[in-house]
Amino acid sequence: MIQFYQVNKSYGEGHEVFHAIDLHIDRGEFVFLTGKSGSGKTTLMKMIFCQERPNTGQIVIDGRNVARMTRTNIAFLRRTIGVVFQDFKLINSLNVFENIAITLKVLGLPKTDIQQKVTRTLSRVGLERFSKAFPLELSGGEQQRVAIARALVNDPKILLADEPTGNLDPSLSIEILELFQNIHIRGTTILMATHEKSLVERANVRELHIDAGRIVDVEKI
Amino acid sequence: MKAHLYLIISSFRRMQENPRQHFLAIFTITICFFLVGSGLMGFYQIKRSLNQMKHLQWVYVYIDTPLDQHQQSNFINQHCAKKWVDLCRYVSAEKAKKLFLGQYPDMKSSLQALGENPFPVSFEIRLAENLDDRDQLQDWLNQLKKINGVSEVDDGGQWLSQWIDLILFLDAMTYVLMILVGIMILGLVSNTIRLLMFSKKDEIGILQLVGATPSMIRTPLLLNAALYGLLGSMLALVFLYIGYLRLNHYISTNFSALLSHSFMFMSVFDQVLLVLIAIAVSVVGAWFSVERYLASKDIS
Repeated sequence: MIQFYQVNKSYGEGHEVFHAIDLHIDRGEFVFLTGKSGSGKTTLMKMIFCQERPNTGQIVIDGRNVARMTRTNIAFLRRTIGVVFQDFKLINSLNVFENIAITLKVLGLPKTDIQQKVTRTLSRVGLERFSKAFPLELSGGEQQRVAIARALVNDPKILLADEPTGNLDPSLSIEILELFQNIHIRGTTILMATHEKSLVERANVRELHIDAGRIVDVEKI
Repeated sequence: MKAHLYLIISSFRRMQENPRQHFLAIFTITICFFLVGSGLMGFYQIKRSLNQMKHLQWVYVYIDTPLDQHQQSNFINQHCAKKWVDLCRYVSAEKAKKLFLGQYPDMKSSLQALGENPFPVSFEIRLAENLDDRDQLQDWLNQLKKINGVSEVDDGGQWLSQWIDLILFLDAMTYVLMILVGIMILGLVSNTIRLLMFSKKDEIGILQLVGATPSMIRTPLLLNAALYGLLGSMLALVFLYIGYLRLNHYISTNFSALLSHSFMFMSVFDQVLLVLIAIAVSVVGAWFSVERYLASKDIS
């Protein structure tokens, strides 16, 4: 599902983030991405959803080489990838329902389909009663659930989560992890960046560790 | 298409969220186009006055022998049926004498002492205001001089050519100024839209994140800019009209003795043109801004 071949990435001169990395994540896998702050977890995620491009090497997402994609094709690729950030990235002037619906409206779906899908997704993340609430009226955990719902509503093939529990307390982190596990059961490929060791141990799934510009498969150590 | 429509509608619906930003954009365009409109009207007024002075210029074609009715008509049809000729009339020697004495009655005895009528037969030709081709005028004057039986053509010497040159220079200046002001407005509108984009950067970032194509991001912003251009230029026209009414009133009450004509407001065509130019400049300015933004930023 996600393949990196000899990918190099550096910023400016001398600051090399990745050195000739190879990465293979299969369809339906749940993978944790760990590493120190600044090790390149976010950069790797950004390369997957094409916000960053590698300096050299090839990245293949769902069979498509993203190296030479146009901006329009990148937009189409992003419709198959759900992304969740640590800081939620919600539009505060839109209510929960509208924040989630935006993903479907960009696809041009009819109103009835949007209503149906958003309501279903809200119930999946346990936020049915908050559909009319605005983000700033919600707790951090609830806002993160809205962000997850927005990423999920389109049934993406890949779900990228960049430190989704970074702003949450431990009990909420576990709730969010369980939510991701439920999503994974339905067949979505999940790549979740975190530096919370306890979460990784609890989930007991594949872990990729970034260190000094290289990716190490922890299972294989 | 449906997605585009949704983004456009939501963009317009949510204009009320940041009224200051939108007001600033519209007001900037209003000020710019008020200045452009004032400048244009000023130039029009000057040009109109210059043209009217040109209109005072007559060309006199002196003829050796009197012409009968048929010959007069022939001359008028052949040489006066031009777009730059406003009036062409035959003046017999008798009529010329009468006109002269009408102006200078004390010269009557001197004329009688001469014995015969010294005034030549002539055609008096008044030039139209729309005369703007110096070479064409010169060709026409040369043709008049070459006509059989024409003894002299009095065209006021170089005065008329220089007058036309001055008007052409003013025209050129207007175009140069308009281009410079247009570039200035383009920059102003472009920066205003850029500010708007920065204020919406989180929203734009989210739209990019969920798969909005560049055209989905671009279209609502360009339409916003078109609306700014439309509202800004229409407001400018309202202010211009108010200013024009007040100025006209002031001039007609204070300087009516000096000025023979009142100031004119822009024609409907010019007003429509100004609004269309404002919309076009706003959209082009916004386009530059959006493209620069999309090229440099992706999901902020």
